[in-house]
Amino acid sequence: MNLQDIGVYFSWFILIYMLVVISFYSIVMLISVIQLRKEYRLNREKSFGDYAEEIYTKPISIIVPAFNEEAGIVHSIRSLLSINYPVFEIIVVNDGSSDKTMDVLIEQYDMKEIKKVIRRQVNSKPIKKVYQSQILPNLFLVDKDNGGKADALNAGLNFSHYPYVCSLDGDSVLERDAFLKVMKPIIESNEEVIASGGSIRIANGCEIRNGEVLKIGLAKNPLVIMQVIEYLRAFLMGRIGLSRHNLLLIISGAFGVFSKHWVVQAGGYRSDTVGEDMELVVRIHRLLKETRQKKRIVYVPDPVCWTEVPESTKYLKRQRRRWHRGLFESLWIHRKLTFNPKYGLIGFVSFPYFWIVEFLGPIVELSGYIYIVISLFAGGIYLEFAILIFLLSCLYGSIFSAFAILLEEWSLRKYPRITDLLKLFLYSLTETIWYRPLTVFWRCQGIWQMIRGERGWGEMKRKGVSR
Amino acid sequence: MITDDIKFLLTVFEWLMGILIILLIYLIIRKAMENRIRKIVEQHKIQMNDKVLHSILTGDFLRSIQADTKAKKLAMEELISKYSDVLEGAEEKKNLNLLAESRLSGYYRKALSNYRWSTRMNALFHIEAFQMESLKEDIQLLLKRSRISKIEIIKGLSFLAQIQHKGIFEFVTEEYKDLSYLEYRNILSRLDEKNLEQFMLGYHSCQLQLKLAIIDLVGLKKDLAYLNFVESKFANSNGEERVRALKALAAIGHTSSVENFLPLLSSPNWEERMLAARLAGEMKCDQAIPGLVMLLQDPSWWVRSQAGQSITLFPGGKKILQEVIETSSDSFAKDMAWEWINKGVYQS
Repeated sequence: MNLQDIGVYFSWFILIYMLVVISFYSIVMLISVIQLRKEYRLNREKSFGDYAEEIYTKPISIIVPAFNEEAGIVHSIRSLLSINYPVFEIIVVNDGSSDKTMDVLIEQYDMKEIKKVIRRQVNSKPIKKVYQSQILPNLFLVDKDNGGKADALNAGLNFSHYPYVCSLDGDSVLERDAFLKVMKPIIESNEEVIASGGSIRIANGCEIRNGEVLKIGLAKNPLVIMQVIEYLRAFLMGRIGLSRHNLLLIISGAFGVFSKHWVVQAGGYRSDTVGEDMELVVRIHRLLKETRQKKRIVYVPDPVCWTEVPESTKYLKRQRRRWHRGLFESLWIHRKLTFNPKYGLIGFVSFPYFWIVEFLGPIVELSGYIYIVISLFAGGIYLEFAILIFLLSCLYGSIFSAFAILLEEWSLRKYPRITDLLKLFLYSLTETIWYRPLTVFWRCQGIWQMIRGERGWGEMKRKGVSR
Repeated sequence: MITDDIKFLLTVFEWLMGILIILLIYLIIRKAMENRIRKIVEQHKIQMNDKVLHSILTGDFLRSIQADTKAKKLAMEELISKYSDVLEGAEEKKNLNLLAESRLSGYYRKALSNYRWSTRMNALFHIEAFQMESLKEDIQLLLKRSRISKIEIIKGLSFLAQIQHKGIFEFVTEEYKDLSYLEYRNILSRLDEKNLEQFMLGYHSCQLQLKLAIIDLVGLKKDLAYLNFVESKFANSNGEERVRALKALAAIGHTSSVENFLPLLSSPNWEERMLAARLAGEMKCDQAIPGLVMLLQDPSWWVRSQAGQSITLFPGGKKILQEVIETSSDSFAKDMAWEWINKGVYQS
């Protein structure tokens, strides 16, 4: 086989790969469209109104892991205190912060130390002290040695009193009805649904005061706009489709509600991975299949939580590398599930999808980009293949994203201004030319870091979304 | 061949972009129209607000409040909805319902027969919120539809329960037998005492999930009037039904003879031990103290915790727990006693 043949075979490989991915996306998209259209114009607020009464609902423990969150923690807690839910407790887990996170909370909420036996159901680093607010008895502060986010969540799990737990990032801002929305499928399914994740939206550009979203807006920074598009596409088109058939492997760490029983059964969060949120969901799925339980993990398309995203390439790069490592770790730890008939559709659809599309995708895409660049010089048949590859990547980069924007406007309509809609649409069409190659490159860097055995999280800098 | 593929893909692109742009234009026009309608609705709301409030407070329905256009209907709906959430007085509620009936019933009647699921659901939400009794026939017609979602059935039955419809017992015991206990509980919770009693009288003919819902509801009401009913269910049933009855008794916090429940402190079922411990604590039954102290060593954390809590309810409870700390050799019991002594006023 000469070099020319290799070049042709390689281009065929990329083309076929892209066609497979596009077909998969199209199917998932179709399921999402049907699902979203069904609920079009539904008065969502009324649809969960019943659950605001105590007798219908289930109490929730909200766990907020905090590591050096001095700047934003009070706003986050304030946002939590105004939520519309009958019975809940808030457990802030101070994960050995070196700043004044603890002092700020103790002073702001008049917290006093309490004596309590912690029920050790899952492993976590030792808890030093527990505090309770004198003004708000449902607010607790657990002080523990530093052990990372997963460890802090485990400590919160051990401390929690209620049957449902919610993990929450310290910098998220919740919608007032967030818990009613995500608990709705759990209550309505008569507990067949054991975990539920809500849609996460981007807070940069919104007007947020005292932990409440006053006005939904769009940031000016192109990187943020592209992330808005990316989140919409991932949530609206990916997760709805997967959730419909109980194939969801990710509930975002920023906001997810779990039945404590099943989290404890699965052994809690694993602290030696950077993708602890995905890893837990996979482990629960695995447990369900192994014990032959007919339980479900679902996704709620309604936006429930607003979170800050990186505004500079430096931090976005770190985030994407970490996500990709996290993805690999979860897939690798549970590699046994891949194409294993014992695990049903999870083994035959979800796992291959995450391996082939999500994990290996960046490598194929990057090689596609390199192929395009080389072909520009080589010319001839290579150039024709390069045009094909480019067209296909436009199809699955830009066109799907543009459709996701329109789908959002068609069904959920969260962005109030026409200019926002136009801006999102036009930006989404540019995705293939700059944003997608950037993220593909960073994800490949993540794979490289993984091969080299890097483990750290990488510091993330935040401005704080609430004023 | 590849050139053909490129041509084909370019054609696909042209088509897709064409579709997307048409969709975009449609959505922009729709958004512009919706924003305009929203403005009109907001204006109507400002104009109508005082008149609607006047009607609700006095019962004097002004002729000038008409809901003859879609925007006015929406404005009216939103205003009435807002007041139905905040008003408490019986007279005001009645006026509000009458206002909704007179101005919006035709609108909802039409919506109930709409082909779109979400339109029917929205109508159901409002009919229930405004307690529009005049639409009960329409709701029953809706329930008879061959293609109906489960959530519509539950909403429809909830509405009938809310207006104390005579046939609700027959509906849930004969026609809708496969709902979960939470769904039944949701429906039954809207019934008044008289209608709930109908379910207690006909308890024996109910399916298990409905039975569980009835017992649960009685526990939630915490009403001593239902004590006999729950006690008899506890005495005459087994399995889940018996545990639920015990739970209801523990919620009511009373029983006519606590002695009957003391043996349960050593039941092999942990839920029974826990609930018996709770009942003993609520009733401050001195004979139960040795049993409760024993339960501080129980293998189940829930039982230990409940035993600790129950002991603190006794006048000398903290002293008892202190003794456990000093004398017990069981570390679980010591820990739990220590925790309940230190619970103090900050208990959640």
